[in-house]
Amino acid sequence: MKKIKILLILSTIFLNIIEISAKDFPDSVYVKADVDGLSCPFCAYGMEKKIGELEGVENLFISLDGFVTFNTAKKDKVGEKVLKNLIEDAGFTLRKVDYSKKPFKKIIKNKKEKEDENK
Amino acid sequence: VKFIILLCSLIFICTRANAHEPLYGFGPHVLFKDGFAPHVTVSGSDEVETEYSLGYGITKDLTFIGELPFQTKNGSYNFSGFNLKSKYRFWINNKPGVSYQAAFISKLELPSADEKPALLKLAFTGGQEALKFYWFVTGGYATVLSGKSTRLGNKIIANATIGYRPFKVDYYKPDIVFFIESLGTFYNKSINDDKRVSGSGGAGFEIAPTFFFTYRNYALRGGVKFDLTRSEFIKKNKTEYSLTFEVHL
Repeated sequence: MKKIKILLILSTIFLNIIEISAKDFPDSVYVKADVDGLSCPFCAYGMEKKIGELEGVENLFISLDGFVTFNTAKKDKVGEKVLKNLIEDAGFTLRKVDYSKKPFKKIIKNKKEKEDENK
Repeated sequence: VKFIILLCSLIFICTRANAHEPLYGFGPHVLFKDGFAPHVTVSGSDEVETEYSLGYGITKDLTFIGELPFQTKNGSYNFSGFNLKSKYRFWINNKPGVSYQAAFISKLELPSADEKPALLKLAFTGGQEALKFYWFVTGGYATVLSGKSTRLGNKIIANATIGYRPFKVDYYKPDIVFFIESLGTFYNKSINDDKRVSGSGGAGFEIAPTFFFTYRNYALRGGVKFDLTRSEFIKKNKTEYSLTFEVHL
């Protein structure tokens, strides 16, 4: 009986860990920057490198449809001016930046799915 | 005269690729700030030349590139000089999925062998990089800086390149772009004791189909350059292949 209790406790802890890791980063800010001039993967690497240098940047995603998304817990490090300079250092132009509590990749995916459904 | 013609053909030093330049010509793209771009080029026809280069992005608009060419001649591997190139992008206009750029290029070629003169190339280049189509145009001037009794004539360079990407591009997948480069060079007459050498000068046109294959920060580009036509006293160049491997760091 004691062994079963221990197993139950351990499995509860294990499932909780899985649940926490599966959640989005609750303290993170999600950033989506619309970027002009993105036309090829080889040059976009410069932007990955420049934004990747920022402290706390995670899940960096670059789309050649003209945007970059990432999340970070260091909200104060990703102001619009900082992003503008980094993106310009890589040879591109920041058109617009959005901040959100929800991941943009999900928003984009949902938007595309809705568009497909409407079609 | 034959010697001068031979020297005129030797003076042709093809311009090596870096970043998003065409393989044989020039392009306006510069490295990102603080970026490094080592690359190695193997090229030639009968003789093989290997060139080791390192580019560095000093600012977002200024890149310096050092080049060390080595020649394989008669079975030996010889250091054949040093080239220093700078590129300043003075204009950029980015739009969604497309970038228009223009740059000023200077290139100093300092060969180690006596038969090749030192050269200073100055050029303006501009063009478009987009998701589907590329084009670049370049106009430049090459000044011969050294020479003994006979000094080779200066050159005017005019290049045009078009490129096409046949597949949809994705940052996380391999990418390929095909180019057609047309290369024109107009040679002034050589100077001997302050007099123009009558049996010298002319023009040459070449065409080069090339490709540019990339995966993230790795790039492989290659191509073959064919001599289309030569006028006056310019010796026809042999068909030349070139292959470059480049990494952005």
